[in-house]
Amino acid sequence: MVALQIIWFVLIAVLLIGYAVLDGFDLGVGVWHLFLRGDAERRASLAAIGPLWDGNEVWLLTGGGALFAAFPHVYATVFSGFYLALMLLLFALIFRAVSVEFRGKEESPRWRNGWSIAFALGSIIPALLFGVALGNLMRGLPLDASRNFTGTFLSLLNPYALLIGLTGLAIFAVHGARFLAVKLEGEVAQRARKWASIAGTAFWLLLLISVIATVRTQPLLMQNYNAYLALWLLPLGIAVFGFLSMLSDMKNRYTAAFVYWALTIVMTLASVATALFPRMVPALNDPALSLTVYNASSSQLTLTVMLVLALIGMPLVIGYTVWAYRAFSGKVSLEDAEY
Amino acid sequence: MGISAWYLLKGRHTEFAQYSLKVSLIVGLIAAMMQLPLGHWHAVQVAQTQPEKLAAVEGLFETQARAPVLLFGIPDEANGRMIAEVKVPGLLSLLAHMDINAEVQGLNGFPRDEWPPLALTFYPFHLMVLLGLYFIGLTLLGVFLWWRGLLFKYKFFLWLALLSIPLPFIVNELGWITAEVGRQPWVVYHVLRTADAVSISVPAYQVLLTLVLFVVIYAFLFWAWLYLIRKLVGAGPEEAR
Repeated sequence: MVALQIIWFVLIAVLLIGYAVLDGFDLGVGVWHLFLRGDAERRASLAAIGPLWDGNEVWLLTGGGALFAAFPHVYATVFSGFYLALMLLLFALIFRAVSVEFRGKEESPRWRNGWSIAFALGSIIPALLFGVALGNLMRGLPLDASRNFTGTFLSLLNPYALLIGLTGLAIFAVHGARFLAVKLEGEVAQRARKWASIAGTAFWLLLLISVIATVRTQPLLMQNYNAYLALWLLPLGIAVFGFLSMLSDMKNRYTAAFVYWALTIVMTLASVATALFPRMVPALNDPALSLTVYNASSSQLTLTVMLVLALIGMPLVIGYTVWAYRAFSGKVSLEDAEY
Repeated sequence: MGISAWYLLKGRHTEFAQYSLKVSLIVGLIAAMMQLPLGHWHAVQVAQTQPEKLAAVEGLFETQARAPVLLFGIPDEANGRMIAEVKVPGLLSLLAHMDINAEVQGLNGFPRDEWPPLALTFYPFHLMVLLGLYFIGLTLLGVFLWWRGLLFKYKFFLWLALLSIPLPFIVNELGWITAEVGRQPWVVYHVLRTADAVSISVPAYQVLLTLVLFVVIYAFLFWAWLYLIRKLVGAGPEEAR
């Protein structure tokens, strides 16, 4: 049973990290949308993510679904506790999805600018909120005896969570810029490289502050790292892959730079997951109330059935994802009129 | 069908619209006819798994053998009876259990606090069935006119097809209302009541606020969608390519 619970913690982490890596770059493309000059550049950037973004968002749905089935207590506490934040996220994602499809279907500049703003906000808000949510989980939530969230929406916007949120926004902004450098041609690709380096600087600064803040104020998150020194390889990996990403970019190897940045994201989130384990929702007021892998999971039967389904389904999902990325690889031209 | 009819009424894209009207008539007739067996199988399943919902949907208050299907009726929830009913005896037993003498459970056999909201289950369902039959009639009429070589001559039929455009959307929603209201008061049938499943940490005003926002946002998106559809239809099949 303990093994199953740990396997499902890891699997959900894999799903959500996979989501951050995949949807991360198309959210990041949206973060830069209003910086793109003129309609042709904006259309090309939408065409670059057009066939991919909705498949990427499926990873979030799957992560949420798996969380509901495997750790229903976590799902209940977090989804009720974060209700307004999640609704804000949902509205942002709705506008984002619609603006990708609607923007190019009408010539009028007012129409296109309106949807451009919707697309940019619909990307920036989620890119920020995912980090804020994670920051709140790292910090811990105020819970009552039956594990109900007792805080308010505004209490979720505390300095520590906002710091983690900004760090997340920066990591996605770099990811999106790296992607644009791969997909676009000419001068705009060079501008995207500059954006990546600006956002990259911001990310390293924010990461440094986050690490200091975490070490100083969140002793619980340091327990695993203090107990097993080998775990420091994960945070070390952030620096290594981040450096390789910068190096590849300097050598004009944009695809390698993008892939290394994806690994930077993986290492960052894996470091956080490692720090949290076995807690999934630490209780801010009383550590004994924390929701952990062991007290928040479903029954052994549920976890077993889910594992069988996941083993069948995961290869299929990975298969079609790889296929889609190969089919839509290559540059997008500025004359592309599809979006 | 509706958009083809509109082109024909306006005398635009006539060749294309004649062809697309025929195609959509065939598809429409098959789809409308399919609703009969599909709806039937679904009702048989509801009869077995959620007898309260079937009773509410059919307006059946007393448990009885040879249970009727109502052609007309007004449910009187307070007194647990139907007003002004016109019925076909035995048909419900036959449809739900393949036996004209089978007993079908009525609402009065269930505790009052386990009844679904009656009006919101009964009326949407019957309106849905009525419109479903209308679709069969409309497409049959179209095929008949086509057979007689009159399909493009009767403006009346073309107007009917045009004005029917919103109806399938409405029917779809009526079906959802029937299914979701008819399952009340349970969120998990006979295990968990909807009232007991409400989040404790989410205040009611937040739910109301987000509900209002949903309505506003979807109304706006519906407007944008209508705008694009109008533009697309106005541009016609050649320009839209």
